[in-house]
Amino acid sequence: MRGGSILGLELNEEFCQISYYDREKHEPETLEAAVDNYQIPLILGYMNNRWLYGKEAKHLASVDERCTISELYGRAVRQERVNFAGQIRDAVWLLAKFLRLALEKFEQIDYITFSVPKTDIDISKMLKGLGRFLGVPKERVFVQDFKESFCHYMFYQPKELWQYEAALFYCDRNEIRAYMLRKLKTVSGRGADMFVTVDEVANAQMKELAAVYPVLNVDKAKDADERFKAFIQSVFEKKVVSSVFLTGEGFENNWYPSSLKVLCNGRRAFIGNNLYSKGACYGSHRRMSDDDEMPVYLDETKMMEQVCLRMRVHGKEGWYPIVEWGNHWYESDGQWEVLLEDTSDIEIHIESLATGELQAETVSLEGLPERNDYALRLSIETMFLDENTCKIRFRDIGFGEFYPATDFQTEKTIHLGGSNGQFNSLS
Amino acid sequence: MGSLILCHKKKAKHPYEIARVHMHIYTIEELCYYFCNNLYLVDYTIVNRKLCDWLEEELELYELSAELRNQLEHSGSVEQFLLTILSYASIYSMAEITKMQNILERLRNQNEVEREKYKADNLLNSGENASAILIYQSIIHKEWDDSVEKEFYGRVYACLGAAYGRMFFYEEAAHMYEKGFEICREPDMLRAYLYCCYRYLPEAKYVKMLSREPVYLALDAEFKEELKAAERQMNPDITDESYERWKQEYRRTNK
Repeated sequence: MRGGSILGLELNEEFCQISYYDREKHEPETLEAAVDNYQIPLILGYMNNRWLYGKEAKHLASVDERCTISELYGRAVRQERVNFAGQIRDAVWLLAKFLRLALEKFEQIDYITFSVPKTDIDISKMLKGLGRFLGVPKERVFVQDFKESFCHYMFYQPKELWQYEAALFYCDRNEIRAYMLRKLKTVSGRGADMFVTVDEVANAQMKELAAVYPVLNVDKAKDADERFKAFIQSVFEKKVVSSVFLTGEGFENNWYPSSLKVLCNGRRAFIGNNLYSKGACYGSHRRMSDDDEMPVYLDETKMMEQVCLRMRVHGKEGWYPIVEWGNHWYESDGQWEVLLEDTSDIEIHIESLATGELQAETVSLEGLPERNDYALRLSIETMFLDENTCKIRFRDIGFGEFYPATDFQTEKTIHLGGSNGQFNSLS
Repeated sequence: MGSLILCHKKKAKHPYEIARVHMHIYTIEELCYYFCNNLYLVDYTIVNRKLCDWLEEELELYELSAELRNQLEHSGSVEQFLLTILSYASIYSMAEITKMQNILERLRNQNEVEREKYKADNLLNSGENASAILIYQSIIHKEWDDSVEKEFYGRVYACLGAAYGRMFFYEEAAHMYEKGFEICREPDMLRAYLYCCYRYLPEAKYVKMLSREPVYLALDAEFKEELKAAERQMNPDITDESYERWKQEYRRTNK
């Protein structure tokens, strides 16, 4: 096995965390910023013509804050322009600079997945642009939110840990949030395909947390523990939970002994603060290995329809998705090259997960030149104009020096239902 | 409904040059296409380590190149090498691969001179006239094989005539057709011989030659009629693209 690095990056307001796939151990490892600390402060510094990042930049900030800039992710998302290091600069550029420094040890990056608190079309475009800036081809840069990262993390854990539901608790200095990973029932009979989602099932602002983080007040910690225990019990009510994961800086001090008893009752519990970056790294690995046996993650922003072509892939004939459900429409533009066995019409299938319906469309290839067998090569491109409209273009691209390309080109516009409300029809 | 075959994603930045036909290959699909359409031309000039290196470095097909190298090290056959690539590419169906396997089998059982002639025929069909001539010449210049009919050698002479003719060497072509006709006595060879004489001989000499044999006169009238008919059908408005294509073709085939 050859190739460059397969990375997962968590980005939030304060930190960046980097996990990379260890090909020998077959699992992700997380870069340490210090001993037992994976969080790289998301701060950039500039002094004496030298750029600093992370821990060094944080030290510099404690000496002279004017030489540093923080909140890089939030500023980039808001597309701010800031005066730093003697110039007005785009915050996106500063974030890119940070990432280039932080990822210096990875000479070649093959796949990168960003895990961020939430994602939308603008955030996705910005991060994909950053990926390209780092030298990763655009089709190998992915963006997912923390919930999806949790899912990808779980897919690579032993099955018994998510046989029923799996719970994730996140805690910071102000609040605790609870998430549940569960399987979805779909209308269409998709055989062995499995669809899952992650719901935020509860959250609570707890003033008691001020007593446990960042400094543990032993006397007051008991109140926080009791409050957390009650919170867990309400979340677990009438649910069969196979495993529990705790993440976030709020769980660092061991202030919840009695809650832990409830958490571990009949199930396994895990604590760690690198779940999102590892989940992102697993996401990269999954996309690299193109494993279609894995469950599909869905939420209200994801596409519930799939566009397929009849294709032979690695010798196997089947309906191959060129637009996949479980993806965002704005990340579903793609390009493939295919050989034609003959020049008869091409059939397109549009399947809906919510309604179970299958719609068929045909594309005529009239006007294609006649050539020897297996010498007709077409480029197929999918382009989303909006969440409901996908244009598919078929173009003759010739066959190397054997046959030059002709100007044959045809297009088909596919109307999709979009993601609006369809997700809620699944239970 | 038409069926599609998904191509491999990787394309070579630096193509593989197939020396025999001066063509550049960029993808595994093109490589397979070349193999399948030129089974007679597959020999050591392409079944070699250079191709393995190219598959590894340019197409990143690590497992395939390792397997092929292993076959070369263990003196595997050309057929095995070729079938490994075709199976890996998964473009052709099992039935088609079996068909090719049968052709390769037949080829292996052929007499060496016959195999060489097939190779030269393929080169001639791909416009590689000079390379084809070298192989045809090697066949007729070495000791003739008694296990094949004499007519086989007559056809090799005729093919040589065709190859020279395509390069506009009509005098050489005429000699070859004449030798071919002496052995095979096929009227087509005689016609080709006469046409080549018509092209290279001064008119007086050509007319004198015709008077030697009554059959020559009849054939001459026949092909001249055919030439006229062909000229009538020809479109005098030749496009710049056609000129350009012909020029390139001429330069390529006369390298």
